[in-house]
Amino acid sequence: MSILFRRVAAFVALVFLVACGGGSGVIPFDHESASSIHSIGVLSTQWPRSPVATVPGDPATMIPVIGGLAVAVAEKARNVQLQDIVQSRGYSGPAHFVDYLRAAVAAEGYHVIHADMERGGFDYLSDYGTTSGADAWLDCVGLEWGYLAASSGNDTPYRPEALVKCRLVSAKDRKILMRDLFVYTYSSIGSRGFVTVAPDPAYVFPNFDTLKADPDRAVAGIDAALKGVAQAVAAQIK
Amino acid sequence: MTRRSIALAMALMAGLTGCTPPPLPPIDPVTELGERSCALHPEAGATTDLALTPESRRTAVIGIDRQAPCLRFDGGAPGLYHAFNLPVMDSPMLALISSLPAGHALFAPRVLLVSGANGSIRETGIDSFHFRGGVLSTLVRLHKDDRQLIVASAPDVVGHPIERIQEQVEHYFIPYPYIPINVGSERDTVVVYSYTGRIVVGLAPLPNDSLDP
Repeated sequence: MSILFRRVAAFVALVFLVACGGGSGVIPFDHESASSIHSIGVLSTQWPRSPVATVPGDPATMIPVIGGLAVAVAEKARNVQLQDIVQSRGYSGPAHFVDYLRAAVAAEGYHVIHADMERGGFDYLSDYGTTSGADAWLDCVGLEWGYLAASSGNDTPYRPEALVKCRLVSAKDRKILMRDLFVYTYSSIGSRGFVTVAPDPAYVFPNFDTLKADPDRAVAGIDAALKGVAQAVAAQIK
Repeated sequence: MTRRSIALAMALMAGLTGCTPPPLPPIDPVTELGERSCALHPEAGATTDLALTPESRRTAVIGIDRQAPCLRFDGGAPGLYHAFNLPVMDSPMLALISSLPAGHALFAPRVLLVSGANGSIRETGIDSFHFRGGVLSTLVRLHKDDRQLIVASAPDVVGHPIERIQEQVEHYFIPYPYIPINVGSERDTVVVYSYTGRIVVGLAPLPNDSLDP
């Protein structure tokens, strides 16, 4: 193997190590270190209030200034329409996530303790208290939910998405037992080191008009995203 | 394409796209091993050290091909493997093990960690691997007495296809005046779990895991 190839291989490996989790603060769960964890306090979660319909690669941006403005206006309109769809179906959105998370953690064999705590923002809690009796705390914060399409063309359909960050903290010594990022979508966001959950093909919409025309399925898609990402979180602590 | 240009392309793509796999030269999936003599324990001497890279990280990119040694771990189905010597660890470390798609082949990975003087082995199965972007990877906490890390093919899933859609957003800009241009696309790929393929193994210090200062 040439020196150049070896150097490049080492560089590629280093980039992967940093970008794919090893350098982004991810802490993997280790069963042997966490063998005393039997009960987990699954905290109530914080999510953005409204869903978004994101199109990160809209080609309209290629038109200087006007294109950028048009994209911003269109995005705001889509977000309002998606919000209306969710509200019209009485769907409480991310409130379902914590139910799915508690069920998924219980399915991994843990005793789940419900813990509702006040949150002021979109960061992890700094203090978990001591009174719940849980061996560890599962603290998750939602970052985004809704739909995502890579572009506005019909060859890049809308799929449901949910982004969440979670950590499991030992109640005994306040050590972080697991910390990771999770995304339900095929978005390139996954390439930033998120555990990527493949979206259910049952909830693919060729464009935003077809999504609007089928609100029940659109809401079901969001629900599937929240459930899927919750199960991915629980799978990390099995 | 020469090895030099492949290497430069790999470096460029890795630098640009982070966890998105670089366009490795395609290989055909190997789903049958044929008649192979397979050891019941990893062969002594068939190991490599992980190269030391900046920031005290150790990394390696390895191709596992048909000529790789074969292991029948626990008397189960055979698989090909590559073994790495682990350095002496004074502080907690973690290992990132990634399988990179190469054409239609994706190495079906599992990890065996050999520990202590008695060589006890603990396994991280393929169900602990997850896609992060387009890369199938897992992170494992290393224990102080871990001596060797073996990446072996997981025979149970070899031959199984995986369909992946990768959305991509390319970011460009015109410098004067600054105009950002985003172009989104997606591509549909089917890869097949293979006995052979390319893997990346890296070691890094465990991030600070305490909430207390």
